[in-house]
Amino acid sequence: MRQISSLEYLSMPKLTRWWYKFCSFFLNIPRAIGRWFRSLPSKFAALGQKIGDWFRDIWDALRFGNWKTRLSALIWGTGNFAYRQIGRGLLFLIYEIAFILFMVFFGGKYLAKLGTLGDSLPVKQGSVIIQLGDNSFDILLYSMLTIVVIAFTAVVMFMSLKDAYNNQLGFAIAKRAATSKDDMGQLLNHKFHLTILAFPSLTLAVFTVVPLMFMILVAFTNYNRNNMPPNHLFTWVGFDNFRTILTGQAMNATDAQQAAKFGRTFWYILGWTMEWAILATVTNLFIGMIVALLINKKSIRLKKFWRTCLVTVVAVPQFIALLLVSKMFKSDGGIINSMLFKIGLIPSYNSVKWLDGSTDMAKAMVVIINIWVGVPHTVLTCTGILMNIPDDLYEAARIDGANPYKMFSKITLPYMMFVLGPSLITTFVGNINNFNLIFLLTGGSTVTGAAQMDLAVGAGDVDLLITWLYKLTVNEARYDVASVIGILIFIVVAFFSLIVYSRIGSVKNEEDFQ
Amino acid sequence: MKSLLSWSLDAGATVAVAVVLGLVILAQVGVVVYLIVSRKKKYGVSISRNYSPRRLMGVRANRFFNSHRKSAKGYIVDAFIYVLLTVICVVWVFPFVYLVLTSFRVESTRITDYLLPKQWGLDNYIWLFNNTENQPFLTWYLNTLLISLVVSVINTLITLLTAYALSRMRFNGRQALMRFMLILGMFPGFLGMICIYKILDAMGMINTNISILGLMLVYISGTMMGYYVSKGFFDTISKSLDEAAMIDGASRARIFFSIILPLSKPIIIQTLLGAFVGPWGDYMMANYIVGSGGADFKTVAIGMYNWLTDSELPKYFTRFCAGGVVVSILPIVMFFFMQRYYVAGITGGSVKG
Repeated sequence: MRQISSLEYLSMPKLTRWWYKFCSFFLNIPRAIGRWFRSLPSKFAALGQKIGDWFRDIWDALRFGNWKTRLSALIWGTGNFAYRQIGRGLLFLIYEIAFILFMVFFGGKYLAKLGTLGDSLPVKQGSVIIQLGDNSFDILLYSMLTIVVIAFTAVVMFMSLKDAYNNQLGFAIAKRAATSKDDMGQLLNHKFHLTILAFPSLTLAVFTVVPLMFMILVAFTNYNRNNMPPNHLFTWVGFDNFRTILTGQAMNATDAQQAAKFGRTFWYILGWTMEWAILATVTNLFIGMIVALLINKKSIRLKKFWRTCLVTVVAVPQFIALLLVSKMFKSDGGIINSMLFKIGLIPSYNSVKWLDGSTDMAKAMVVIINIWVGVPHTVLTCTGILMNIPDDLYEAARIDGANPYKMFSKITLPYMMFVLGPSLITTFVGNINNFNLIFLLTGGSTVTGAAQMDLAVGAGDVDLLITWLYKLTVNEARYDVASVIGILIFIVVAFFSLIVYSRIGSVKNEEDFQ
Repeated sequence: MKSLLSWSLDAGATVAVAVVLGLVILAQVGVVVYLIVSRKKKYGVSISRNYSPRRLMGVRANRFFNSHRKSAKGYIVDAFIYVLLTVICVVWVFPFVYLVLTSFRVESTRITDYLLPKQWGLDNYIWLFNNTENQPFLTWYLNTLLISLVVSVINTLITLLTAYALSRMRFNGRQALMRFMLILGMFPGFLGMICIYKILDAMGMINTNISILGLMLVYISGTMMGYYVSKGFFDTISKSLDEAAMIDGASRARIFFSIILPLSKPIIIQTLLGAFVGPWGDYMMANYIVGSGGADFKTVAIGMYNWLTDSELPKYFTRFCAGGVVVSILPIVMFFFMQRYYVAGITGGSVKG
């Protein structure tokens, strides 16, 4: 796009200006992505610098440290014992011993087999297992756990060495080192973050980081219902799963048909997911904004009543609201069809198939029902924003002789968009992963539509990527394909988030803002 | 007389809906007319308006803000808006009216083609708490309540503390931690479930009497990543408060508990509510962990979902509605009492964009 000067820009008619902005936003996306990739080397350089600093610190401690400091690289805590920091020294020492025991009796065993994911099958006599073989699942899982533990240990080791060196330096100046009591005080003060973050980080590591690492690696294996441990082994297959999903090519001739289906299904579902996310976000935003403006118009009364009506939807648990609505729209005997029939709008009880007829109808209904679910959230947010707009802005505008329309388009709307804009991406991502709505309303497929389309295992014609992932995991046990889909969802989400985060000032200039 | 009554019941939905909707709309129109007629009297010559700063400043009253001085066009616009809002509210509330009405229906447990029950009663509610079909609704309810209460308290504490640390303290690896959590949050949460299942199984928490504990752990595990809104809120609280307290010798912990917390009531309530409602209505995670176990270890969402499968639907539909009402009461009450703070909390953290 041609760059134009600000003078030219100002001389444009309003509509053209808007159009220019609109176009330049979308045309700038590739450039922004390019910029991000071009900034990668410098980011890596910064990272390298940091790691370099780390090693330089270690090297300094070893070079300039006395024997106590040097010894504490080998036997952690020496440098603390030497300066009478018994508590701290004991902690380091115990951690070291525990780590060594862990590696010898547990971690090392699994880590050694990570390359092959096990090679010995269980020995069976009839159906009774007489000798256990390798369990690929355990090997992969506990290897991940071990890797996390090793990473943490590296940090602890660095800390112990640095501690010893600091003690040496501090002792040379102050003739005393910090006592345990000082440490405790620090944990509530300057090191309060350690106290705070310890427990959440632990649960995050065990229940989020390790499982995610595991599942990312599963995408490169053939872990599915044919290779279920403990009776079978699964192994590394490289990028085969990605190729199957993205291109529909199979690794061997027997799977060709199945693979082709996977390829077709993935692109179809990805397309619908995007369509859905955009439609759901946009409809919610605009209808929500309009309703909020209506309710908050100064001359409208009973504001609280209107709001309360809408908030009921937010308060009632989604599984109840959505299951109920799905039964209301049931084609045979649902209340909506019954009522339409009695009023005389439709010829028979089951002539409109809302959610279980054609694919397009079901998709349209899902979007409409999502308006019902989502608009109250937007209204709540918008109400908060509208209440927060300072009155003096309007006051000033009025003194300058602005009319209501001007005030709306120059104050209210920009203010709302300013706040809602960033939250838009959160909503968008939330919609990409909106399991409840699709699953509870339709179960992911319409009976006739899914049959026509001949999709891959587990997939229905209204499925989003996330519900397909769920079904592949829970019903079909195709973990390899499921985790590929999980990674692809991540890539999609990351792509959109990156665009937005690179444009929001408050993320970049955090300190300026505070 | 009797025939008239039975006719009206048989015509069911049509008449009932027409009457109910008609009444609601009539009432609304009445309110609107009343408001429009009474407005002038109420505000037209009120003292406070006459001596409002605006009036004293001699600024001409504007229609958009001083709505009491309206032209005929203004009235029509307002009337139109009232009608629109009425329609919107009827559409939005209708499913819940249907839910409540159905829950009181006695004569049939199926889906019916009429709206008003022919025979009213509490049978469905009684069945919920006292049945012989191995559907221990009360146990599910208490399970869910326990999970939600524990999780909401712990999650709120974790979220707020994390947000405080990231907002106020500057430590090594802070930026890296934030970026790491941002990236982590982009993966779909369900992805790790197979693995979590295995870990919980190894800890003996799948389909045993402590599987509820496992479920709690799952809900608590990722909380740290939800720090974002609270951090935004804390960022808006002036740092000079902290500095003043620090000069007076307060520790970081003290500052958090006695300065920051009392100032952040909206965000506390919003986080509490969010953390309570999440597990309360969760199906996806719960189904994987307690879905296939014994009836006593389930949560309401899992138990009640099974009532609506195609084969069970005729037997359980009204009971589902009764259960739905019971399950919804608590969150609805909470929302209505805390609505004000909730609104403030949502925007409080995001106003700066």
